[in-house]
Amino acid sequence: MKRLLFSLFLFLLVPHVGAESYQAPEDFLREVFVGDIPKPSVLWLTKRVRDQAKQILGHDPAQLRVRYWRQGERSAWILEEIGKDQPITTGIVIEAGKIERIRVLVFRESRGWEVRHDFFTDQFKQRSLTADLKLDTSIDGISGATLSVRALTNLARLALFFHQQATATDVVP
Amino acid sequence: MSYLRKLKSLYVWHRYVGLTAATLVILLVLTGIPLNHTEQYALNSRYIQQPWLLDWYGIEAPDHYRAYSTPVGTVTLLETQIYLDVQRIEGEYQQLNGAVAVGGMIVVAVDNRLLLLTHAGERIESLTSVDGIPDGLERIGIGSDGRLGAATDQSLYLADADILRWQAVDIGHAAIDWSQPAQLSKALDARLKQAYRERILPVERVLLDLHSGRFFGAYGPWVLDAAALLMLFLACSGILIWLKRKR
Repeated sequence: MKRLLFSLFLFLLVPHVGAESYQAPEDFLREVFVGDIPKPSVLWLTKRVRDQAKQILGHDPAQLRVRYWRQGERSAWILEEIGKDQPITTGIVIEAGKIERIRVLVFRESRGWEVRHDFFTDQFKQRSLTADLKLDTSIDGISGATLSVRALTNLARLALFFHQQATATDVVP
Repeated sequence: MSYLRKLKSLYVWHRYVGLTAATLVILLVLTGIPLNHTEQYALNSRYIQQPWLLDWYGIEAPDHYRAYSTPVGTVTLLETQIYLDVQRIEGEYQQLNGAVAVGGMIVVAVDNRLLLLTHAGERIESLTSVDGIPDGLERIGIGSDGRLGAATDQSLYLADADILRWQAVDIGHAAIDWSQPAQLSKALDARLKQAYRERILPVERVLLDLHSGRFFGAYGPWVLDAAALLMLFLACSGILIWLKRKR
């Protein structure tokens, strides 16, 4: 009995390891677009866009083009950013220049997973981007999850910025 | 022994121990100062390229590789590194299943996803199942109409011109020129292996080994320990000489 209790105690102490998949990206898109997922489009990162994305992320973006799904003034983005060591896959929906929802789809770090909860992600709802590429309000952090909070905040900013670029030509697919 | 003779004896010891330890002190200074600024100088992400030093550390490139040739370059998997000719592509990979040049891009099938690269090796996009890439991707090729084809053991998909959307087609009816493994030329093989070796040994590692004496083999640390004791002697003898002179 003592051995069983000790094992249980150790299990609770051991930090979470391995990827935790909360929602498949395709399921996220299906939910966002109520089953009618639009055809994907791509945003090519020109030098100007890359420089501004670098300003948001603090490093060069990993890719030269970003895929998104758009319906009118609404766009959905599946973006990744490294928290401490591993990428956090996040789904972000923008409507009329504001964040409609943000959801952690896959979390791979051993700590900081609290960012996936609504009590944290709800802070991003209706947030928009200022002229200096920052969110129009500050986001309350989570003790012990600083890097995950920073990653999600940067992804929110990035999605808003990309939405601006994608809708700049006013071409509605 | 008179006071002056004792002082002279201590001074002589101090001088000769100092001379003995001088070389090692210089080594410790030249390695210790950069180590104090590892992050500033990014010493753990700069790598040794000198072949003699890589040989000293016994760093060798693996013999086994998997390569696919395209008209714009050869894509090779060497251990967990992917190279476009000799340019390393960022990331670590386990399995390479094909590479083709299509639509102004190089498409690399690796680890159940597709890497889209520019001809200069920059990453355009990494496609996974969320982008329509089938699970169990086994090979890629180019169809007779110039479209990219990707196949599992049971299904075949053709991409549109921008590689944005995929269309499932009958695996038996599409004529696809499948990407085939290739042999590297001797010249490329040699250059590739050198490129691989040049990304293994960080500068920080070498500085740490010099600083600790490990660089010189099993007895190196003992020599540096002895140097530390000599420096301790220098400090103590220096203080004693100073005190005795004051008297």
